[in-house]
Amino acid sequence: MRDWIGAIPLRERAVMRQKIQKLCEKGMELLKTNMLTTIEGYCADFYELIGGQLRIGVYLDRPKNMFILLHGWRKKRRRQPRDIGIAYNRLIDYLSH
Amino acid sequence: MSTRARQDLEHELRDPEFRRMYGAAEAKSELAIALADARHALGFTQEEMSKTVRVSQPYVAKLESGDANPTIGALGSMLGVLNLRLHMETVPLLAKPVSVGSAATFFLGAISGYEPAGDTCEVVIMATPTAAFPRETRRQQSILFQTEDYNPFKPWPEGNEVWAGSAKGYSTEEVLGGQKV
Repeated sequence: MRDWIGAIPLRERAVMRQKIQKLCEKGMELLKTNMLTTIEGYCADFYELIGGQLRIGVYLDRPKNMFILLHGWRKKRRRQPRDIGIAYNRLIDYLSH
Repeated sequence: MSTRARQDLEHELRDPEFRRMYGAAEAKSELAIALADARHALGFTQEEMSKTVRVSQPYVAKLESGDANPTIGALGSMLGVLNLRLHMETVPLLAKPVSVGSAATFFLGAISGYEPAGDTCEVVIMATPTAAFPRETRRQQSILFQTEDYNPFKPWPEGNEVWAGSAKGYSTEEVLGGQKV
């Protein structure tokens, strides 16, 4: 994730870093907006953080009070099952440890 | 926010060009949150809101995603229709990190020895207490029960073991969806 954010163009990087900071400050309040949406069909607390064309798959670890940023990608079509799949696989890895 | 992510952000904010863009994104996000709050307080859907303020529903969605860049006048007009006005104040660009002594500080200490190898997950520590989280929706609950192995309350192992599964080593191409940015 860190490498991915560091590699995106400056304007988009500023937007995504700001969204992550906002997620940190406001938490689930962002669900009221279109900046954070639920990814349905996988599991609870699996979300998509949205910044323009870019997306980050996010998991909320409630007991630890932390968001886990799983995988970032650029939206090209209406949905990206492959990218969401990568994020979900990482989530499975995370939950299995 | 994890210390690493925070450090990266603070480092980037030394660049005036980055600060300029970050500031624009910050203003749009704050506007998105304020508008969403106002809409929820009025009990409107985005569709109802769009009809009331006479803009399209996709534009309301764009405003609430922090992507739209309305003029101050247009914003004032929309709020005026809702019998609201804009209240503004300036504060430092970057909010203070999670305060010492809060529950989240413990987690900072717990991961302080972690050095990620390559492309891994990043951790964000929230300032918002867990108690403030909304309950799962009915749909989320149904998904929860449908997913056999899912257990959000599974204990987290001590030390760095938790990261072993995360450092799976995805290539840059995979991360970028096979496309160069």
